[in-house]
Amino acid sequence: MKTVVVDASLVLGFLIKSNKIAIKEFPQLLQSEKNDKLKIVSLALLPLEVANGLRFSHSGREMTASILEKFINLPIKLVNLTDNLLIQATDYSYQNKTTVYDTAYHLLAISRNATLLTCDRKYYLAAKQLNHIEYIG
Amino acid sequence: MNMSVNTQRITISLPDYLYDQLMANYSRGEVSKVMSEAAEKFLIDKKIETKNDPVDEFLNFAKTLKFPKMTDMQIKRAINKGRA
Repeated sequence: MKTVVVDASLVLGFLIKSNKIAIKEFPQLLQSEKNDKLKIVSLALLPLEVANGLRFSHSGREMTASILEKFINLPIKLVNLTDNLLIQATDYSYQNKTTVYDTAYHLLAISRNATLLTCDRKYYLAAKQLNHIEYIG
Repeated sequence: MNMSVNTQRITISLPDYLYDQLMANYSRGEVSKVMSEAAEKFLIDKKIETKNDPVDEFLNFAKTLKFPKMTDMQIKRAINKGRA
């Protein structure tokens, strides 16, 4: 079964409706997961990043709480990076001049032979040579 | 169920075995009431089913959200805000 890794830029691109492709693709991913055709994985960091993104993007307290209540029930498997992958992610972040946070999502995808789906063009351009990444936008 | 509401007349087709059971248990005058109750129960169950599905619940809720226009870069800044 195909596995994809999603990051907060994709989730928020869908929720905030800033990214037309994300608006179309994120629901399709969820439906595919629901039909056992796809596995969606992310870092345990994802809900925190989504929450912070909502906190600082014109979402009021109640709306943010309502979104998060529903978001945390989605069938996205959240995992922590292993120690080795954390060290590797840090190394790649130096190499590609990216943040460890962004690189950690990518390393998760690489380690699982999956594809990171991101709306973060800057990160994509900096790290696309590592493969296992698709820019949504 | 409130039976004083306005009603619409429809024609439905039932498999023979259901029709036979219906007629064996209810008079012709009661059929509309029974079918209304069955439809109502079905629709309520269906609604609860939808409500309990986390994907549908999330996607339906997301449709109602309205945010001011933001670019992907602005969203990225919001995600990272507060980090040193």
